[in-house]
Amino acid sequence: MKKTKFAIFVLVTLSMVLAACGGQATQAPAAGATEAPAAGATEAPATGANVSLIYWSMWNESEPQADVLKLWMSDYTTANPNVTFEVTWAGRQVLTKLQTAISAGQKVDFLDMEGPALRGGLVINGQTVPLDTYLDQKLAGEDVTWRSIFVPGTLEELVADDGSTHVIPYELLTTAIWYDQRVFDRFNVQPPTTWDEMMAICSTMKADNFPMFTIEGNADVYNAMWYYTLIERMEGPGKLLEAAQDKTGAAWDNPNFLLAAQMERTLWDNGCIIEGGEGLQWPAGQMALANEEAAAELVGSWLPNEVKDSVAPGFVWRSFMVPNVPGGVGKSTDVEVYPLGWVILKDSQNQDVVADFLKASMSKAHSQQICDMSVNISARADTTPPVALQDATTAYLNATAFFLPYDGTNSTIPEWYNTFLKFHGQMFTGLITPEAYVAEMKAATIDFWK
Amino acid sequence: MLNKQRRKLIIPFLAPSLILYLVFFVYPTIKGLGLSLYQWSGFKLPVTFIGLENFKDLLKDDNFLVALKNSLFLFFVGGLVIFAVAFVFTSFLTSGIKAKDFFRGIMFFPNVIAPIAVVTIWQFIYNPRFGLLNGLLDVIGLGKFGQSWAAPGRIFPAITVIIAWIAIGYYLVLLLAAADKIPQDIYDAGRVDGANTWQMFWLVTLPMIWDVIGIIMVLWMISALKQFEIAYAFSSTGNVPVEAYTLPIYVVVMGFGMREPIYKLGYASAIGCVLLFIVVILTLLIRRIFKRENLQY
Repeated sequence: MKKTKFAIFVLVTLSMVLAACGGQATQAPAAGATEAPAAGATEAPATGANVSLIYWSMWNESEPQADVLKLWMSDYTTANPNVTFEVTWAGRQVLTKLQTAISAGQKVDFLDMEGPALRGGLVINGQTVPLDTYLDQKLAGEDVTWRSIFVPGTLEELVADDGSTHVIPYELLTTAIWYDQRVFDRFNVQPPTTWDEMMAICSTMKADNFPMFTIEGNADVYNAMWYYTLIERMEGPGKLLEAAQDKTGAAWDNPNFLLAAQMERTLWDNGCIIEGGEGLQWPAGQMALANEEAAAELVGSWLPNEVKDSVAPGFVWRSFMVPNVPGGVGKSTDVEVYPLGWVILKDSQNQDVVADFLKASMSKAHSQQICDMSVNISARADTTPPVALQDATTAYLNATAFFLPYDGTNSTIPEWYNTFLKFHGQMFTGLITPEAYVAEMKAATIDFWK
Repeated sequence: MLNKQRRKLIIPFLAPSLILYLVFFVYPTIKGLGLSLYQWSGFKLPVTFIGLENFKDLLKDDNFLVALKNSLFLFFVGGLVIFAVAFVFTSFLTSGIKAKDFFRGIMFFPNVIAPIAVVTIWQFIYNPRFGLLNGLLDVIGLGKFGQSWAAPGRIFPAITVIIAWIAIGYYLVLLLAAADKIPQDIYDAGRVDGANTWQMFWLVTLPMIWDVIGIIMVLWMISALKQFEIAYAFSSTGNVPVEAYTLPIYVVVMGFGMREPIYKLGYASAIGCVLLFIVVILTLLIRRIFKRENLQY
């Protein structure tokens, strides 16, 4: 009898613990169950009511961007003493951590992250709210709407499928070829406007046994920048994404997909890439640029900030976009737009307050701090860029068209994108030929959509 | 009477750990098995039951096959290297050499270094332009064999070497601990019979620690198949190249997206189930291979 009682006690205890573990964390899966996204309705807190906003950030607390964000929050709390912030500096895995938190029923009001990842991870999963109503309001102390202050065209790049705006960019990255002006002066060359001019510069440098480009051999995300930018120059924005979404794979028969791969290989064949580049582990490639072992590197606009403490004294940062290619539809003035931004989560009870904070943070003075304190490009058009990013900012402001990183494949069809990176990396480093690469991509694309 | 009372005491002493084990190991495992039958992003609902579709998709998934191949490569090839070297050192260190503890400490040292530091050291060793390995080859006149050791086609063997370098000392210490239990008079008898170092190891040490080797093999198998941190750290940028995927890395890539928004938690659970299945099968296999009568000494 006692044994039976004890067994019942253990079972009941166990059931209670298991039930507690289950709960919201893992809702019992129901076959085909669906949940309509909430309408995004929010109840504004009464004036003066204390509000604590829960904010998750992609930055680590020690990074310059975190200092800027802390300043913005501090300024907002000073102006609105009833509003405070609970910040989690979650780092680049913020979405991974958020997924667990949301599943566990934890409340988060808003977060920041790379725009394409926000769109692909949260916006299309119905986890965020549209912010168009707020964007059409005027900014405090300025006679302009919030929508009008962004670098033209950038806000529209990450809209949801229904055209509504969920991602608010505060910082812009882009991809360009970065170089030290002094090195170009030494070789008496100017930034090229065409691919042929670029190859001529490469030959000039090669004649002096100096490689034009350094690369990060293990960073296939960096190396793929050559390919999707070349496809953009040949075919215009969106064509790589179209090929990726072509269930028949026929798009890969377009000769430009092969030509772009062959042009990448000519960089190797003509000795334009640093010797042993395929084996350089990040950040060895960019350190080679900082140490003047190579003239340039194709990479994101974070580079000047990342190596600012390593470059030789007097290093003069300049950049140019991947140049035009013969007969190309795209232009060297087309710019990759890579926003870092915020979204407000649909379960937030403080959407109005968060939106007000975001608007306040995009004042000209605050936006300028992105340029001055974190050495980056602000999403606000009327800021003064840091010297190192002057060329890239000018390109942004004069862009003839925008295209997303990886032509949007990483945010739209990330699994396909992983396969693309694999085969591209193999081709780029010479493990397979450009012809084999195109054949692999065609087959992989067909397989992917089966 | 006393035995009956003691038996009653076992249950309350056992219950806390049993409950913890059930809650934190058995329950998540069963939950994971169940989740592998669903399509789920991990962001609340919708959750859709799809039966064995996730497992069927795995068979057609080239990136999963790369991850599987790498994990098995690490277990078999890495294991071969680790145990070949560990056995040689066990043979050497049980031969009556002086300063045994010093050598054991040196061999174990990589285990006390943080993985990220180990990886940084090896990135320098592998650097094709000024790395230690190519430099060493130059010095001994074999410069023509210098390579880009961590290039995409060689990246996983390069990672395997790092993991082996760390693991050798750990398994060596376990083997030596087992070998230390062997009575000295057995070695003395061997020496009287004229056995050399290799024969002593092969005919005395190895048979006497056979059961320990079996356990060590299981430990290595589990350690190899759950390998994540070195391959992840070696990629530096947070985006692990597909060539460096292991099964646990692929679980994270598919389930939690890393930096790409994939979020297929059901699919990731299916990969986890395959991993669990492989571990169970290999454990049974290894236990069977190393099964034998207990030695009394």
